[in-house]
Amino acid sequence: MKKQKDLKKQKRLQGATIGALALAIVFMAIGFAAYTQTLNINGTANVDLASWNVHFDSTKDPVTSSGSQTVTKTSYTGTTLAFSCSLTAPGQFCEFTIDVVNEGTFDAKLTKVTLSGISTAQAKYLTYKLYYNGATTPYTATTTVSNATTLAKKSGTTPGRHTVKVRVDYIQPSSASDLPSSAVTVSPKAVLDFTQQ
Amino acid sequence: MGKLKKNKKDSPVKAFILPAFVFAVLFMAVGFAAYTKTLSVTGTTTTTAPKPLYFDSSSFDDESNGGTISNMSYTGTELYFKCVLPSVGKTCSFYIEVANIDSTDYQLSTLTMNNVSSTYYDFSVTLYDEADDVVFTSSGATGSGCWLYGYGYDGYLVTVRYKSGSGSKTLYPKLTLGYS
Amino acid sequence: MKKSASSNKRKRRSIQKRLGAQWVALLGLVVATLGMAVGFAAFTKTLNISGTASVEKAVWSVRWDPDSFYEEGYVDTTAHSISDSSMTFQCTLSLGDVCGFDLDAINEGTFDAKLTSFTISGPTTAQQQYIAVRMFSYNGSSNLSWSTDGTYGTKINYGTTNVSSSNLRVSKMSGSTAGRLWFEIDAAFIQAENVNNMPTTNQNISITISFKFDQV
Repeated sequence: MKKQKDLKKQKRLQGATIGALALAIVFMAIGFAAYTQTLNINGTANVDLASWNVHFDSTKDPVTSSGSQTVTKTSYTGTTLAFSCSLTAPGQFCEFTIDVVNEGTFDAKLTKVTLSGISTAQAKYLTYKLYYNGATTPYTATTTVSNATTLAKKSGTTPGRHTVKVRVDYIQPSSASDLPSSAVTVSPKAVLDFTQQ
Repeated sequence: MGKLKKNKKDSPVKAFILPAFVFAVLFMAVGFAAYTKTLSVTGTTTTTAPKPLYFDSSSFDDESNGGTISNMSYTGTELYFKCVLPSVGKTCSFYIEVANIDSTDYQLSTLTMNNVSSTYYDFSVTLYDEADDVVFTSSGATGSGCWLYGYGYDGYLVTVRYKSGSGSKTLYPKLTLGYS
Repeated sequence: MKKSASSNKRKRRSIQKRLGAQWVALLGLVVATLGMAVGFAAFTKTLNISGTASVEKAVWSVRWDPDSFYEEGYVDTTAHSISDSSMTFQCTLSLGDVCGFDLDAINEGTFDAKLTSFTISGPTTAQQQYIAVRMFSYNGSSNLSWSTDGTYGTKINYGTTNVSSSNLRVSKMSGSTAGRLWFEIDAAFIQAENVNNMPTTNQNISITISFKFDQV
C-alpha cells in the first residue's frame, strides 16, 4: 500500500517536473524555434552552414583622413589593427577609417567600446575618439553600447559593413604647464565587442 | 560618453556644414586660448633735487632780427638752441625767464656762453628784474644784487649777432647761468 | 479475483522500470535544456585596435636672458638682478642724467610669440612730469621705439601701450637658437614742461614696465 503510494507520489512528482520542464522548454523554444527555422529554410540554393563571423576587413587598407598626419598600418588582421602616427605640434591630429564586416549568418551589434592607453596627464594634450558607423558624436571613454545599429549578416554574397574611424588629436591645453615638456610615445587602444543579435 | 545616434539620412549640405562649423569652432578655440607671458622691469630711480631754478620754456619770446632760432632745449639753468644767421648784422634774439619754484633766495654768480666764436659773433645777455638792468658781453662773474628771490622769476634777453664773415652761418650756442 | 504475489511483483518491477526510464529521460531533457540555455547566451567577437602615437614636446617659454644685460654707459645702474620673468634695477639721477641698459627677451619654446603691449607704471602724476622712460626694441628684422617725453620714437603715455603696427615677433626655438627681442630701456631725469612741477626734494621713484607676450 505504501509502495503504491510512493509510486503514485513519484508519478505526480515526475508529472510536475515534466510539466515545469515542458513550460521552460516552451519559453526557450521561442529562441530555439528561430534557430530551428533557420535550419529548416527549404528550397534556397545558397544556404550556408550557420556561422558567426564578424571581423575587420583587412583586405582594405585604413584610409587616412584629409588633414591628418600620416598614419602607418603596422599590422592588420581580421581581429587586430596596429597603427602608428607622429604628432609634432599641437593642432595636428591622426585620423583614419577602417571597415568592420559581418560575413556570418547571424546579425551582430556593437555592444561595448573600451578606450584606454592615455594617462590622465596625457589626456590634457591628447584626445582619443572613436566614431562608429558614421556617427558624428564619437566615443571618448569606455562605453556600454545599448542601441547600436545592427551590423547585418551576409545577404547573398554581400556582407554587412560598418565603418570605424579613429582619431587622436594633439591639443593645446589652456595651461601651458600641461604641455609635454619632452617627447612622449603613447599607446592608445580601442577594443570593440560585437554580440550576436 | 558617446551616444550612438540612429542612422539618419543627412542631406549633403548638412553633412558639409556641420564638419565645417566644428572645424571653425575648433580653430577659433585654438586662437582664443593663446598663451601669454608677462616679463617685467622694475627700477628705482633716485633723483637728487637740483636747485629749484629753471629756464621756463613757456616764457620764451622770439625777438630775432633776420636770424632763425630752433631746437630750444632747457635743463635747469642751462639752455641750448640752434641759430641760423644768413648774413652779417643779423641777430638771433629771445627773451627767457628763470623761475625759482622754491622759497629760498638765490643770487646769480656766473654766466657762461659756449659755442659762440668771438671771431664771427658777439653776444649780449641782459638781465631784467625789478631793480637791476645788467648787461654782459662775455662770460664772467656777475655783479652783486642779481637776486632771484623765492617764488620769483628773472627775465633775460639773449642776443647773438653776426659780427663779421661771409655767407650763412649755423651755430649752437649754450648758455649756463650759475646761482649760489 | 486475488492477484498472485508474483504477478504483483512483476507489475511493480515494470512500473519501477518505466519510472526509472522516465527519470533518465527527464535527466536527459534537463541536461539538454541547460545545454541550450548556455548556447543561447549569444556569440561575441572582440576586435582590437592598438596604436602608437609619438608626440613631440611642446613648450611655451619667453624669458629674460641675464647674459644679455649690458650697461649703455650713460649713468650706470647701481644694482640690478634678473630672473626669468622679472628684472629689477636701481640708479641715481641728477637733472639731465639718463640711466640705460640693454636686455633681451628670448623664446626657447616651440610656439612663436609676439610683443603685443607694454605698460609703464610707478611714477605718480607729478613724477611723470620729470621722469621720462624711453625704449627701443629690435627683433633682427623690425624695430620700434617709444618715449614718454617724445624725444625718441613714438610719443607714448604712462599706462598701457599697444604694440600694434608690427607686433614685434619673437620666433620660437630653431635648432639650438632661441628667438630674441632686444630692448634698450632708459630712464631720464628731465625738466618738466611746467617748471613748477619740478621736485624740490630728493625723490625715490619706482618705475615698472610690464611686457606682455602673446602666442602667435
